[in-house]
Amino acid sequence: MTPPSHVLAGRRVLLVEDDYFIAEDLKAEFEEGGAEVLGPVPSVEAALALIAGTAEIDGAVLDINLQDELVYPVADVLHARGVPFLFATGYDAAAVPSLHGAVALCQKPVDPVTVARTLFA
Amino acid sequence: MPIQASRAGGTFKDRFRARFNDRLAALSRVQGLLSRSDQEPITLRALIETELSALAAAALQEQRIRLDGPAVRLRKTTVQTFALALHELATNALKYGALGAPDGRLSVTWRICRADPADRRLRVEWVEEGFPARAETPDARGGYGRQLIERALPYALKARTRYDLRETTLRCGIDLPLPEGDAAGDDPDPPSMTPLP
Repeated sequence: MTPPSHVLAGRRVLLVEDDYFIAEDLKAEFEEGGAEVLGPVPSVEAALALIAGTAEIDGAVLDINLQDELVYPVADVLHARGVPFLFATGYDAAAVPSLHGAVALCQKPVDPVTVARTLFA
Repeated sequence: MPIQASRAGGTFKDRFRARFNDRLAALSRVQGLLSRSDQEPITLRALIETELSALAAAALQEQRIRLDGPAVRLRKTTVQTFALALHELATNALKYGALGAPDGRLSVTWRICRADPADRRLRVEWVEEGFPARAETPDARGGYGRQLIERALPYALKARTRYDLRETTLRCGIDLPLPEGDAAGDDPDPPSMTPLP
């Protein structure tokens, strides 16, 4: 099986996560895997601004529940651009009404290996 | 190889477990407030009083704590992150600062500022005075708590924060956006704690 570092190397991955400590951990893990991290950003507004200003995005990990909003507008924009992404959530899959074009729904905590295989393998 | 016991008492694992359980307890106190928040909106004062009553009942009794500010209701989404920050401040005050020293004093004051109609902000000042100077460098105090205040609050709540620890004083300022939903109540909180003379 291809090591995740090969799959992640050079990939530009957007991270949307409102918890600072989780966001920082994810960023560090993805960077160790060789990815270039876009963000992390904590809100829909910040994510949309970042996406609008970034020409190349290879994939994204989206936390569904942000501070007082849901991440779906970000999912719709990524879907329209053809960027593969997955949802990370602490909720059961049954609680998520629609995939909004997501490749997968992952339970938190997500790890870069799973993300790499799901998005890029 | 045995895990080395630290001078703070207990192994790293013991201390980790103790602080982890403390944080869980703080979160569960917040859940208690949140579960009643439909009938009883959560005010900043209630949040601070809940945390201080749990951790520093003695200092409250001895009137070494002063709380002062208008009634401010907090949004549910603000409450959890903010409560953790208060918990870290209170825990550190008990361990290293004003709440652990016999003559230490803590004052928590807050006000609402409005630079323009679209920018309402809540400014909280946490000031500890009168704790004994210690040999440790300021950085020894609360790595996690300090990171929470200096990095996590700006990230998650768009707060502007300041953490100024001197030999015998700590001044921590937290300034966060207060959308119109977080209305100031009509009736001020009753002053359940006596101001310092």
